[in-house]
Amino acid sequence: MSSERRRRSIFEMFDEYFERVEALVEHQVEALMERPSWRPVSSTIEPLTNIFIEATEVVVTADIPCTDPRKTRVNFIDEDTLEVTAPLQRCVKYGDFRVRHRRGEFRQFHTRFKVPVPVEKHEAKITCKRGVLEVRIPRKLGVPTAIE
Amino acid sequence: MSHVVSVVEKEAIPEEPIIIAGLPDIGLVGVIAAVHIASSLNMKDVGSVESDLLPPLVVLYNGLPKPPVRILSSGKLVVILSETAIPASAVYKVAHAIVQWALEKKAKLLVSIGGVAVEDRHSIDKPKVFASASDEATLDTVKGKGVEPLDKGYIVGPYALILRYSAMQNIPAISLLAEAFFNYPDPEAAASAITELNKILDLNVDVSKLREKGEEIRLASKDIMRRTQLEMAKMRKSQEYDVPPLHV
Repeated sequence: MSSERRRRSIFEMFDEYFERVEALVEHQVEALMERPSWRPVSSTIEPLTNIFIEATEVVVTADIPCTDPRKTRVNFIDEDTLEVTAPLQRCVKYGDFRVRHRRGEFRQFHTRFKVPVPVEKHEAKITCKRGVLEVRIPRKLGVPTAIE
Repeated sequence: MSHVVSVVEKEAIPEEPIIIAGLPDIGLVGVIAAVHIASSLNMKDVGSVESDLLPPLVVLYNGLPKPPVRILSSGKLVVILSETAIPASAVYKVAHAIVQWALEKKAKLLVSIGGVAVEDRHSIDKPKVFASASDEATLDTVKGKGVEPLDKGYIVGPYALILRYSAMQNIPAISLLAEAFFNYPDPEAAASAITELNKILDLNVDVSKLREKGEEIRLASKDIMRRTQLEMAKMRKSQEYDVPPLHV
């Protein structure tokens, strides 16, 4: 084992390490994808979402078609968790998609986001256009370090 | 069938067809457009793309199995439609098989319908459509129909390969790319792409229903979009945002 280790260069070891990390991340993302996004128990649908960390703000978007923007709720449930609830304009059933072997009806979109950087949660700006919700939250910016 | 992609014709497809590819990509533009074209023109199933590189699934319609990548046709107009995300690992062979089949059939034109992601998509009323082509004459024809060329930039994924292989095999091919959401289904972008396709192919596919039913289509397409998103990440699809180096 030790002689094998001596034969590998530091670059090979780095490559192997990053390959393992990449495989792990891919595996976890795929595991997340395998979770059903239609949840009959809670009558909710998990929407497609995106989160972008920009220089001065965090932009969160969610695709929430068939909803009324006036009834959509966006709340911070703690310092870094954002919750979105958007009732559908009408109750949707599996049967509406000709899926007749499953039972369940869906009344709203529901999702939670972990915001990965500190933000000014009380200054969030929320818009909804074309059924796409957009939440723009200013980042908490630290004290800049002066350049000598 | 080890790692081979084959195009299977269940019914004879005439030579010199015009082939439209609707594969899962940005905003699912191609898939949504292909489904709409096929149903508007009452196309029937005539074949499939088969491979053990594709997910092991069938799509059930009225209790009967349909392959995930279907070929539908009406006369000489043929649609290749995928109802599952094409795994990144299969993209080379699927694109190669489609182009080889187009070559064997002496295709008059191979059209790929897709999207080009724009960040301010939600503030765009009518998404613009750009075109790229496998050769200059085909691009000139498309430009003559009033479609703006995608002058410079990267295309990543199955359509990139279809265009590249078509150029190598001298098959006239175009990519029609509508401004779209990156990873949200975009029926309005599909409607814009079909409107341009109507001009190019002298078709008359009505897109009003596509616009009316847009929100329902988005709801029904979100799961295939989610899986496509994963495959796009593996293909490094975000390279389409990159600026290519200076022209040599």
